[in-house]
Amino acid sequence: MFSPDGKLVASGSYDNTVRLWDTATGGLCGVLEAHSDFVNAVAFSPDGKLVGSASRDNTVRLWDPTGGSCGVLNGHSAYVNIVVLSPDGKLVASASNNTVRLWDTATGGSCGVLEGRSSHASAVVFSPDGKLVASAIYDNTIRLWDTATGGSCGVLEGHLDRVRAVVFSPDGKLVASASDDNSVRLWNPATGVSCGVLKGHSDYVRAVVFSPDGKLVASASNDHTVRLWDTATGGSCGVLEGHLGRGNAVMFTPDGKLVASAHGKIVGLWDVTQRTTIGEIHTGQIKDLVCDATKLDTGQRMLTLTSLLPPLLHVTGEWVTWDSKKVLFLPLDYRPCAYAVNDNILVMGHPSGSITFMSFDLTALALQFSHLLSPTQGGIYSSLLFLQIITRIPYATQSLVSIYATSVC
Amino acid sequence: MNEVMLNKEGVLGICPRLLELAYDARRFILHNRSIIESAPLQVYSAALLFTPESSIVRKQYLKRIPWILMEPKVIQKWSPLIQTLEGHSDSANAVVFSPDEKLVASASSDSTVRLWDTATGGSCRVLEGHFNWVRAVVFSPDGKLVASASNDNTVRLWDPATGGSCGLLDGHLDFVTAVVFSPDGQLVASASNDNTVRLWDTATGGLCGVLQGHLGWVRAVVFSPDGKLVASASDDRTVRLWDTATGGPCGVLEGHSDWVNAVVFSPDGKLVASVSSDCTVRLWDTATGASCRVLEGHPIPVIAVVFSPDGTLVASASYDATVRLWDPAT
Repeated sequence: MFSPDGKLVASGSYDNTVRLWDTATGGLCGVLEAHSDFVNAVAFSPDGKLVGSASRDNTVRLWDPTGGSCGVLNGHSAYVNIVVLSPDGKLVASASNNTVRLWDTATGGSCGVLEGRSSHASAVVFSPDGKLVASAIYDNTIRLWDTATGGSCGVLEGHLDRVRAVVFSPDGKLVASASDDNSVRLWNPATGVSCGVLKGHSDYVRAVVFSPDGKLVASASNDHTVRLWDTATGGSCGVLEGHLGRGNAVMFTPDGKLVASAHGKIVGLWDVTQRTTIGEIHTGQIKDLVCDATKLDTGQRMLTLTSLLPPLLHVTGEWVTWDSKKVLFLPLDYRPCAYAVNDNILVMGHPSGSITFMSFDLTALALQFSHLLSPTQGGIYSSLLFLQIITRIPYATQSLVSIYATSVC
Repeated sequence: MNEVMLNKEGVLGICPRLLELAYDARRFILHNRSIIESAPLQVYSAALLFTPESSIVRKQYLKRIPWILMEPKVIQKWSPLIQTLEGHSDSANAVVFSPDEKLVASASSDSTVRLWDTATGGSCRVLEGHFNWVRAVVFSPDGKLVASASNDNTVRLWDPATGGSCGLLDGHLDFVTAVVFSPDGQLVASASNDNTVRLWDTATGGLCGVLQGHLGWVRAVVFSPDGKLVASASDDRTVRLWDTATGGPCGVLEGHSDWVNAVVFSPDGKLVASVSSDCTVRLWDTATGASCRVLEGHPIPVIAVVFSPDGTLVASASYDATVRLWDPAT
């Protein structure tokens, strides 16, 4: 889980610890030890000053990310699976197999309990203003609570099977839920009324998310697709199809231009406007997708988002191209049989076995060449991975005739 | 510029730095010919950037390019490679100078023969007509004709001055692998995978003889220096000698234990050298057909052989990546 400023990642572990990592260096910067059993979930408060952890030892603990313990929340009588902090950092919601609890972070006191046969939650989420908590319950409903009173303020009923995920829209005026009944539903949390049933998936919907502007919803399903929906009309506005396997998590980048979806061990990346795939990244088993402006966390591996975005530099035939514009002619001996691009660095491997490194000033390139028309727009999303060989240019080195000087002056 | 540079008695001769500059400028132009031709504005970036570091032209004109932070590492000095002739779209299989050295002809798997200006590296002609790989290309002794052999089972004759076709020698039943003019230029001999060597009249394009006897693909064919004999090398492990005038067999040189890949006469015509996939070079007496010497050393198949012009050395080339020099006398 990223800290709100993106500088830290907190990870909960089966070694009973919460570990904090520096995203810039990848180095470990803290080990929070106190739980006596597996840590199932961790969360940051929005101001980044508090970390909450949920454990199999039936407790929730609060921590200062600089290293200290701030308290233990005792009350659950079973493994705690979910922990979330309210937007203002004053409340914690946690869920165990039979209760959902609300706590005051300042005092550690309980502010509310939802108990009973029908209170096994698969997801718990605060509304953006912190006034509501929505929990997806295994009885096919979503329950809404008023955080001020700790009392229930609505039940969203309509799904025909288990609800797997629930999210608020960025403005808090809509709730989206994903269910095993193959549908996504939109709700008005103020009235508890359903605003739309988004049908199209042909298998369980595992994850749902709003775009940053709230205009789109993306859902990932066991039917291997990611679907985009218009929140205003409830209509389908695109199916992102690949061969990536069952989708279990989905995420918009903060600029809303890309969708990342998790399919087992593969992250799929999609261009939202074009509705096209940009590529796929093979990683470890993905637990969850978390994304900030520059990084994508799969729970296993952190990926730098700039390296996931298609680089503008390429080698096309005899040319180094920038944004599809011819920039530098490569003499034959300097044409690559393989090349890699990392942002502004171009590395070319030649048939002779030699390697050429070049780096470019991307700002200066933009100044110099952006006025030129691109010969072909699109089709530039061909490479993704940092310093991996991204393409091979087949050409026969034998189809050349060389004249050698018998003496050099 | 070539003529100016060769005239060392003149202005350049008394001013070494000017001579150096002229040499460097010539190398720069030849080296960057394809850039200058296809993208002239790149002279100020790509051409200078990829020119060897010690080049005077580079030092004089290469300014920092604002959008390049790290320049590519390039070689320090001009290498012996003057120029790379780009144009063929598939493997170049054979290359030969014209007798006056003004032209280079190249045969390619792209079905064409290309003629190039030796001085400038410019493409002069593209000889199009074959419809399969061109395996071999030769100039006639007077330089007025080019012959090419192709996997389309034909030999074609061309006028290098105009690029026009001068004849289609059609008759082989399989790939033509080698072609050669007789020393007087009146005959063309061609070797084929149809196990024959054929002799053709250069002037009329008519078939003069089919030299039959080999039991495998014929890989090489040469005339003796006096033109009276033809030697051919075959996958049937033999070299055969033939009478040019009658087309009749004059000898079967047996001894190799694998394919014979190339054959050549010594400059005086008294010896025949052959190389084989059996890893040996063999020397034979032309008159008797007897084996004179077996030169062993290459660990894997030998593919080419030549005599030095004075006949005192034999050079052999092998897939072992070596060229070996042999004394044919000892």
